[in-house]
Amino acid sequence: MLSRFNDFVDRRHEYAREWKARTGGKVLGTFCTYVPEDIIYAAGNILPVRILGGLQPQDVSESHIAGLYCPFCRDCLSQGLLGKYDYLDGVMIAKSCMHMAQAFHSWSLHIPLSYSYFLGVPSLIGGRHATEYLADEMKDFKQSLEKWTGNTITDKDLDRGIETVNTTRRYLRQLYELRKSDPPLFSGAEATALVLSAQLIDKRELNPLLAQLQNDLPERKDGPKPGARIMVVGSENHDLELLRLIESRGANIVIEDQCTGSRYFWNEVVPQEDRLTAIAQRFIDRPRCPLKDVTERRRLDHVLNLAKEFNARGALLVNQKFCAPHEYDIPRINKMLQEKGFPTFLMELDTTIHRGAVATRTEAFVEMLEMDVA
Amino acid sequence: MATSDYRTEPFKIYDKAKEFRLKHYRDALAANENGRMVVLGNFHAPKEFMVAMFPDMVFIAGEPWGVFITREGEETSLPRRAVEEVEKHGFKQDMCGYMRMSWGSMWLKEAPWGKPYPKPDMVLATNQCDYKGKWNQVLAEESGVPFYCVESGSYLGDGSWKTPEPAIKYLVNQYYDLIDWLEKRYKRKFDEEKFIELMRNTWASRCMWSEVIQMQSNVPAPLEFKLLLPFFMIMEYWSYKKEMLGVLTEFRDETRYRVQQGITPMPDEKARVLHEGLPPWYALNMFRYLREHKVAVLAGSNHFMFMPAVLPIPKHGWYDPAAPIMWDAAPKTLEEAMRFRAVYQWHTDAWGIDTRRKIYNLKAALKMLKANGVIIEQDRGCEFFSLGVPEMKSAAAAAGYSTMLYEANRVDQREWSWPHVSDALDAFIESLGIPRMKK
Ligand code: SF4
Ligand code: SF4
Repeated sequence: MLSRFNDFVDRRHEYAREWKARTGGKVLGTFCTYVPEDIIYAAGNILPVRILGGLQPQDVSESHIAGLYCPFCRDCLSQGLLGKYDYLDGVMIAKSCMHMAQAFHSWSLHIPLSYSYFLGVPSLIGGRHATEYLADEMKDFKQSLEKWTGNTITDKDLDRGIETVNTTRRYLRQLYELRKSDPPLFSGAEATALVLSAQLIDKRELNPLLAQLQNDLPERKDGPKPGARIMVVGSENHDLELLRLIESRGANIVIEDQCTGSRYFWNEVVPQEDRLTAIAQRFIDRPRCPLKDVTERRRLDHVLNLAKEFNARGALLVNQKFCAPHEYDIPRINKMLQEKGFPTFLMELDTTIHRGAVATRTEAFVEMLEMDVA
Repeated sequence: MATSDYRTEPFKIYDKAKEFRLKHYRDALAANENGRMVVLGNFHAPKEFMVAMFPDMVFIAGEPWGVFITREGEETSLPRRAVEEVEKHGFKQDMCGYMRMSWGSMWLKEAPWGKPYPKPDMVLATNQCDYKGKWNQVLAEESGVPFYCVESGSYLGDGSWKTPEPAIKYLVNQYYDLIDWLEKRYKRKFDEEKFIELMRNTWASRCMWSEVIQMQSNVPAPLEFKLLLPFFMIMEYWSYKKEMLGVLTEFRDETRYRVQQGITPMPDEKARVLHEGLPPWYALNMFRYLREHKVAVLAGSNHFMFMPAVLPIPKHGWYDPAAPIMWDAAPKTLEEAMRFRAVYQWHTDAWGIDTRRKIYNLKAALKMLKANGVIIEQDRGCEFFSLGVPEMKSAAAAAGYSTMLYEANRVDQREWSWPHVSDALDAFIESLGIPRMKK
C-alpha cells in the first residue's frame, strides 16, 4: 500500500511529463521547502516539483559550483544540466542557503526558461518585522506568477490553494502519528517517500491517496519489525535506499527533523483576513531550518520534544558533506541530545556513500542502544 | 599592454593607515582594563547605531580579528591552536576560517601579543552570509551577553540593479527596532544628529574610495592591491569616523597627485591583473612574486562594493570612470540616513550573493581597469566569496581574459600549498605573455 509512494519518487520525471501532457499545465521546479506552494496552487494549473539530485556520480557541475559547496546542490544542478528536468517551464528558489542559491543561479544562467524567481525569505524569523517582510515578498511573487500565467490570483484562489496544501499537511501529520506505536506502522524510508511524494506529485491527486492510506494503514500486517527506535536530524536526504539499509540493520526510524521529513508539513496555514500574511506566518512558525534559527535557538527544544514524543532511543545526525547550516547546529544538537540521555551517531552524506560502512556503523549503534535499554 | 618604464615613489599615507590598524588592536586589547564597552560582531554590523549612543565603545569585528590572529599570533602558534580548538568542539575544518579563528581565540581565552581575549558586553551582527548570524550567535551564547542581529533580506538573483523596496523597508524597520532595543536596554537616548553625521561621513568616505578605485584605471596604475589593503580595512570598519574620512581624503589626494605625476609602485608594469577575493593573509609573498614578474595587481571587484549608493548607475555600464560623483546627495535627515545605510548594506550583501551581479562586476572591473587577466582565490570556507567563482572564471575566460583560480583558506594555513599555487601562477603569468623566471 505504500509502494506507490516509492514509485512516485522513482518515477518522478515520468509523472511530471505525463501530468503536463494530461493537464496542459506548467511545471515549476523549486529549490527549497520555503517556497509557498499555497500560492502556486492558487495560481491554477501549475505543478510545483522539488528539484532533487540523481544520487549518481557526475562531473557536469564542476565548472559551475565551487568545491566547498555541498554534494546535494551540485547533484541538483547536474540533473538540470543533464536534461533530466527538460519538462520544467520555470524554476524558483526561496532564499535558503548559499549552496542552493548557487545551484539556482547556475541553473538560471545555463538552462534558460520562461520563468525564474528568487523569493526573499528572512533568516531572522524571530524578528518583529519578519512576517510583514515575508508577506511583502509574497505579494511580489504572487504578481510575478500572475504575469507568467496571465491569470489574476484572487482571495478565493488563495483559499483554494491554502486548503489544498493544508490538506496534505494535515494528512501527513496524522499519518506520522502512526509512527508512535511500537513497532511503528511504517518505516522511515516509507515516511520519507510519502513526504517526497508530497513535494513531487500534484497534491490534488495525492490527497485522496493519503486519505485512503490513513484509512488502510491501521490494518497493516507487514509493517516494520520491532527494532531500536531512532530519530534522524540534519540535512536533506532523499536517498531511500540508504534509509532502507539503515533500517535493515535493526533500527526503526520513527521521526526526523529534516526538510525531507517533518519540517516540510508540520504546521498548517492558519486563516487570516490577509491570506499572504497567513501564508507568511506559517513559515515563521514552522519548525526551523538551522539557517533560520539565528537569534534565540528554538531547534534544540523542538528536536528534544520530537525525540520524546516519538519515543526515540537515540539519534542519527546526518550532514551532507560541506552543508554549512547543519555543520553549525549538529555539534550543539549532539551535545544536547547526549546530555538528555539520547545516544547519537553522526553520518556524513555524499552523492554516493559507502554502504558497507553504513551497515556496520548502524549495527554497532543499534547494539549499543539495545545494551543501553537492557 | 603597457611596456614603458614609469616613475616610482613610496605611497606616503600608507604607513599612517597601517598605524590605525595597530592602534585599534592596542585599544581593543586594553578595553576591558580601561572600562570601555566592548561590542563584538562582524564588519558590516550596524555599529554606527551603537557609536551614536556610546561614542567610547570599542567594536571588534570578527573578520579582521581572524586576520589579526593569523598575522600577529604566529609567535605563540595561536592560529593553529585556535582552529584545532574549534575542531575539539565538534565543528568542521571546512567552515569559515575567520569564524574559526574568532571562536578558537575565544575558547582559548587568548589574543595575540600575550593578551587575553577581550570580554564582550554585547554582540551585534548582520547576517550577511550563511555564517555570520550563527557565528555571532555562538559568541554571544558562550560569553553570556545579549545578541542583536539584523539582515538584508532578499537578493534578486537576476543580475538587475533594482533596489528591492521590501528588503530596504525591512532593513530600515530593523534599524528602528535596534534603536528601540538599545534605548530600553541601556536607558540612553539615541543621538539622531550624531547618527546623521556618521552617515554623512560614510557617504563621503565612499565617494573618496570610489574616486580612488576609478583612478586605478590609469596606465600606469597609481596604486597596487597591497597598498589598498589598509584602506579597505578603514572602509569596512570605520568609514563613519570623521578622522578616517580625513585619512581617506588624503588617500584620494595623494592618489590623484600620483596620477598627475605618472607615479606608480610598479615602474615596469608589463601586465595588469585583478585579484578576486581576499588573499591568504599568511602568504602575501604571492604578491611579491607577481611583482617580480612585473605583473601589476590593481584591485579586485570586491573593492567595488563600496561604490553603490554613491555612484549612479549609468545605462551603459556601472563602473564608468567618467560617471560624476554625487557629492550633494549625502543624507540630511534621519530618514535619509536610515535609507542610505539600508541601501548600501543591501548592495554590499547582494554583491556577494548574486552570481550574475558578480559576473557583471568582474567583467566591468576588468574593462574599466584595463586589465589583462584575473586571479581568483576560491576560499575553502568562505561561501560568500566562493559563490559564483567558477561562473566568473568561465565568463572572464570567454571574454578573452587570462584567468587563474587557486584554492586556499585566508587564515587556516593548513590549506595552503605554495608549490601548487606558484605552478598555477607561472602558467598564468606565461599566459599574459611574460616569460617565466627561474625559481
Ligand atoms: S544540504 Fe545543506 S548546504 Fe546543501 S542545499 Fe541543503 S541546506 Fe544547503
Ligand atoms: S563565510 Fe566568508 S563572508 Fe561569511 S563570515 Fe566567513 S569569510 Fe566572511
